[in-house]
Amino acid sequence: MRMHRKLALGAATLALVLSACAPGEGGSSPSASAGATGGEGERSIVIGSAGFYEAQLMAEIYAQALEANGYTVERKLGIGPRDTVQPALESGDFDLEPEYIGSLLTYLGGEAAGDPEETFTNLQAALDEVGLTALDYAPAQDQNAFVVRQETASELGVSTMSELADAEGASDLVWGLPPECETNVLCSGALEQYGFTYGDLNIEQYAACDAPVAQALNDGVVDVAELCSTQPDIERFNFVVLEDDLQTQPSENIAPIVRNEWLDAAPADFAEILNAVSAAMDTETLTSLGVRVAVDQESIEDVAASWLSDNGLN
Amino acid sequence: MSPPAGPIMGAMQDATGAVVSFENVTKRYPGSDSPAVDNLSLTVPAGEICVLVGPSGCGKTTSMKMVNRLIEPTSGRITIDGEDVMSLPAVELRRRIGYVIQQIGLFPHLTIGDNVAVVPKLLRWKDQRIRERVEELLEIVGLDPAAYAKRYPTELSGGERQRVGVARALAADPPVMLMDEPFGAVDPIRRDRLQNEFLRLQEKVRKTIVFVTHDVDEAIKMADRIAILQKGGILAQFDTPAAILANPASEFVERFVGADRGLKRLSLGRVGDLEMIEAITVRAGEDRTAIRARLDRVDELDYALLVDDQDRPLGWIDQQDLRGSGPINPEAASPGAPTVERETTLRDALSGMLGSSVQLGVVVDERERVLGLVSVDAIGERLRAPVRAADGGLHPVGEAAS
Amino acid sequence: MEFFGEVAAWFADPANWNGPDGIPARIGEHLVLSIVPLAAAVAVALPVGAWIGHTGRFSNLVINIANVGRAIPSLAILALAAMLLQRTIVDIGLRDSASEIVTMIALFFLAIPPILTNAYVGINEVDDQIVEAGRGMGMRDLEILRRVEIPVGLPVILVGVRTAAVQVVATATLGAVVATGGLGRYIIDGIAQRRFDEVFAGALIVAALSIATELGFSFIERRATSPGLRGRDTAPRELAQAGRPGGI
Repeated sequence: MRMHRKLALGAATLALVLSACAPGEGGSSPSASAGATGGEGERSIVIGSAGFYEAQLMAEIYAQALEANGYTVERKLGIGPRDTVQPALESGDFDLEPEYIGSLLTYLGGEAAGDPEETFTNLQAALDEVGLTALDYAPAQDQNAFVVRQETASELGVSTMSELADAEGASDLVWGLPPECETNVLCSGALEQYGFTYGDLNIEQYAACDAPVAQALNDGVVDVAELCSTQPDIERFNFVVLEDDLQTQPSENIAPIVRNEWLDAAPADFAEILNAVSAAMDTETLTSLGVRVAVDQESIEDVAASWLSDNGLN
Repeated sequence: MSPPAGPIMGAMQDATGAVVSFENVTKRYPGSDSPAVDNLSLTVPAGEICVLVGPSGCGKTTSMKMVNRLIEPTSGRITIDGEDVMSLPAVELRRRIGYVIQQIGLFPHLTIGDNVAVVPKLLRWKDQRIRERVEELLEIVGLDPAAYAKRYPTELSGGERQRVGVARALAADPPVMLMDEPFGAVDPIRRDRLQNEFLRLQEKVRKTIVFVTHDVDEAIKMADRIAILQKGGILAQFDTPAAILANPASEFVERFVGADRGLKRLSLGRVGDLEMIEAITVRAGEDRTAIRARLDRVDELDYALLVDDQDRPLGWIDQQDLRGSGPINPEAASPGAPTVERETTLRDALSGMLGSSVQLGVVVDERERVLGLVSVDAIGERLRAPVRAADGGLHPVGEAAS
Repeated sequence: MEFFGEVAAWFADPANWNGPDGIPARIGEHLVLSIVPLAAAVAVALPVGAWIGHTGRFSNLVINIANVGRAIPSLAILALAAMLLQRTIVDIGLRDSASEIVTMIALFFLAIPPILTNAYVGINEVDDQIVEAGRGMGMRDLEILRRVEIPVGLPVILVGVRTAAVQVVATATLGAVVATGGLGRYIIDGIAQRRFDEVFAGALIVAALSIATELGFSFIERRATSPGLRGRDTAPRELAQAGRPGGI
C-alpha cells in the first residue's frame, strides 16, 4: 500500500491544494444491491471500484472494453475505501474491480515485495482463500517514487536512484520529504539502501504525493521530491521519475480482481479482453490519462473511450 | 506671536472685535439653478453680535461659513477690518476666527483642557502660555479649572459642554467668532441662562460675532443687529431688533417675525432695566417676630424670601408661616416664583411671573445670589416708558429706532 | 482520559522543551512567521484604510476587494502565493527562506481585509460635526486625520488589528504544509506520524498563543484608547453648581 498516502491523511485538510493526488481514500457508501450473477455465455457483469479517480478510470476502461465485446455492464464505481470495497466484492455485490497488487496483498495480510512477479504470486495465493482471482497485472504502477526536475536529471545525468546516489553534487540536493520519512522503512530505509545517510540530507518537510511538494519541486525550493508515480503533476511539470532500480518500493501494478464464481462461468474471451487492456497500460500512459481527468477535467467516460480506441481495444 | 501681517492679525492683538463686511457676496452651488446666497452685502461693526436668521434654506449657515472659508463665495468678497479673507491661506484664517458649532463638536478623546488648547497648539504657543490661557478661559466661562481641565466631554452636561465650546473658540483671542446655533442642543431653561452668561461674557470681550439661528426670539435677545434672510439667500432686512420689530421691511419679515410683534418688543427690554424691590431675605433659624417686624416696614411686600447660607433663594415665607414666635421652620417655605437674571428679557420674565402665584421675579446674579425682586407692575410701568434698545440708545417702545 | 494523560506526558517530556523541535523554538518561529506579515499589513492597510475613510473616495471598491479577500480560504491564498511567487523568490536567491516568505506573503494578504476595513470604518464613522469643528478651527487635512479622526476611530481601528493578529497567529500553523517551522509542525508532523498526543498538544499551544494575542491586543486597545472614548463614564454628570432649574 502507498503508505505515505495513508499517513499523509492529515494533509487531507489540504484538499484544496491537492491537485488530485493519486488514489486517496473515501467515496460513497457501499452499494446495497443484490449479488451479481454470472454464468456460461452470460455476458452480464457488475464492476465496482474505490472512490478515487484512478480506480474509477481503470474500472471504466474495463467496462468499456467489455461492452465493446458484447457484454452488458452494470457499474458500481466509487464505492469507498478498500476496507469497504473488498468485503463487498467478496460477498458478491459485484464481480470485478481494479486493484493495486501490493496494497491488496498487504490488506490481505501478506507482505508486498519490490518484485512485481513475486508480489503477484503471493497475492494470487492470498486471493484464492477468499474466492477471488487476479488477472494479468499491467506494467502501470502507482507507487511512491523519488522525482527530480528534467534539468536536474540532465545536469547530473541520472535516471535511476542508484545513479543519483553516485552523482557528483548529490550531497547539495534539497529533499522534499514527508515528516514521517525518518521512521518509515520504505522512505528513509529505501534511501539508506541506495547509500544516502538520512541524517545528512538537507530536508524540507512536505507531505508526499501532495500539490505543495510538487510546486516546491517545480519552483526549485527542493530538488528531489517524493511523489506518487502517476501523480498528474509529474506530467504537468515534466518531472523525471527516478527508477527504483533496487526495487525498494513494493510493487503496485494494477490488476483486475474477479470473483471466482463469476470467472468459472465466464465466456471464453473474458480474460483475454482484460489482459489486453492491462498489457497496453504503462505508468506513463496512466499518468497522462490522470492529467486529462484530474487537471483538464475531462470526463472519465471520454478519457476511457478515447484511450481504448487509440489502442484498438473497442 | 509674529508681528502683525495685516488687519486680521493686527486686530487679534488688541483682542477686541474687527469689522466684518460682506460685499456683494453670492454663492452658487454647482448643479443648482438658484443661488444659495444672493448678492449679500452687510457690515457688522466691530464688537457687535450680528444674528443671521431665517427659515431653512435661506443661506444663513452658508453665509456664516464663507467668513472662515469652510465655503468659498462664487463672487463678491468678505473682509475683516478691510482685509479680504481670501488673501490668507484658509487654515491660517480659521485659526484666527473662533468657531462654535451646533453640537459644540468637542473632541471626545481630549480632556476639556486639551480641547480648549487646540488652536493655541496649532499656533505652536509655548506650553506654559497654553496652560495659563486654558485656566484663564475656563474661569472666564465659569468652570473651575482644577475640577474640569482633566475631565472628558462625556462627563459634562450639555450646558457645561457649551461653555467649553465657547472657551475653545476664544482660546487664541480671535477678533471674530462664528457661532452656528450654539445653544441649539440645550434645554430651554438652561438655554436662557447660557444666553445670559454669554451676553455678560460679550460685555467683557467685545468680539465681533456672526451668530446663526432659526429662532427669532433668540435673535431678538442676542443680536445687536439682525440680518433676516429669505429663501434663495436674499437679505430681507438688516437692522437692530427694535427697528425690525417696529418697522418690518416687507411682508415676509412681518410674517417671519410673527403676529405677536408687540409682545416680542418686550424682548428688547431686560430685567436689568427695571427698578428692583429690595427683598426681605431670611435664613433658617431666624426669629419670627423679628421677621414680622421687617416685613411690616415694607408696604409692597407680604412675603419674606428664605435663602440658604450662600444667599441663594429657597422659597417664600408668608404671614401664616410667621404666626407665633420662635425660629421659623424652613420646611414651611413654599416655592412659586421664577428666578431671573439681569439679562433675562422682559418677555421671558413676564411669562415666568404670570405663571407663578406670587407674580414676583427673583433676580439673581451669576452665582444665583439674590439681588432683589421685580414685579409684574414694574414691567407694566416699563412698557409705558422708553426702553434701552440694543444699539444703546433709548427708544420709546413702539417707535422705530432711527 | 488515557489520551489526555498522553498529552500531559507529552508536555512533561523535557525533550519537547529543548532543541530545534522544542516548544520554545517552535513558538519563536511561529512568532516570527506571524509578526512580520502582521506588521507589513498594518503598515500598508492602516494608512490606505485611514485615507479612504478620510476622503470617502474609492471606499466601495476597496471594501468590496476586502470582502472578497475575506471570503477566499486561507489555504487557497497560501496555494496561490506558492504558485505565483515561489519561483521568483527562489530566483532572487532566497531559496532557503522560500517557504517562510511564501507563508508570510499569504498571511500578509490574510491580515489585510480586517485591518483595511476597520481602519476605513473607524475613520469614516467619526462624527462629521467633530471633523467640521476641526476644519473650522484651522486644522489641515493631515492634522484632522492625525489629531481627530485616528484617535477617535482608534478603538475600531485596533479591533481590526487584533482580529488580523489572532487570525494570523492561528493560520501561521498552515505554513507547515509548505515546510516552514512554527507550531504547525507539531500538528502536520503529528498527523503524518499518527502521534495524536503531539497533534493535540500543538493545537493547544496554538490556541493558547491565539488567546494570548487576543488578550495582549485587548490590553493595548485599552491603554491606547482615550478615557473619553470608553463605554463607561459616559453618563453626563452635572458638575457645575448652576444645576438647579430656573425657579424656586
